[in-house]
Amino acid sequence: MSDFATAVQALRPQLMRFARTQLRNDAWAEDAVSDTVLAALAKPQAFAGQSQLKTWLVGILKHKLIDQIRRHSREISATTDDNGEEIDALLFNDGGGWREAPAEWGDPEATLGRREFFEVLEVCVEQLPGVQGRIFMMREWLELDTDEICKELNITATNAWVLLHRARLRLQTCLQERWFGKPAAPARATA
Amino acid sequence: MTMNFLQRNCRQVTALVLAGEDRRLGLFERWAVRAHLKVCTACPRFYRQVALMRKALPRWRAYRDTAD
Repeated sequence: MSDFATAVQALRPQLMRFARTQLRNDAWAEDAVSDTVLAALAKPQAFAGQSQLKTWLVGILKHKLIDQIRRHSREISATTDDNGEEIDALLFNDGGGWREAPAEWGDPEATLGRREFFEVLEVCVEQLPGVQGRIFMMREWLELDTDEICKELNITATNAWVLLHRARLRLQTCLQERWFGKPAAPARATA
Repeated sequence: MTMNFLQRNCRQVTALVLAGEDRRLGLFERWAVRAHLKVCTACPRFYRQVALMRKALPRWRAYRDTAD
């Protein structure tokens, strides 16, 4: 095996992890990663030492993931493992007020300067429930807008917004728990 | 003039703040959010949390796409 091929193969586990987080399906993830590795090995000259090998491969992977999403859009939009209503009921009382007021997260730069924060963020994204996780990753990692997401998954914009809403809320809760510490003492919230 | 038509509870304002990440809010929606943030102590914190997440996500992308 050439050095290039060895280097590509060495990154396979990382690509696999990314593909799984996006697709939430091992077989599809395996297909996307295989397609990526094959494409990379077929045209090593396209890499030509530009930037990092990983960055280049991830770029290819993102396209292959969109191919997979397209191919399996029916199954994806038919999945309903979304128990999203719970997150709203968990955070708000019947009057629409906060059960526990959100905490002050402090200076963003102090947080965003820490590498560990992004490791926690990664865990929180991985833990999003299937449907929410997929759509959140499409939006924030594949950088698709809502129109494109709706087109690929064949869902309505309202549907997409609801799922993104729940994903973001869940992410906020996860970051609160895993990074920013316990919820602050209840403050007065306007109902 | 009463501004009751702009009145929203925390749950509704939170939903609008989050919606703003994925679509452009309407004029009344923006007014309602602004009006609520002025009188609520809890929601402005949530608003700042969302701002932090918005700032964090591009860096998260860069981190996972390049970090070893």
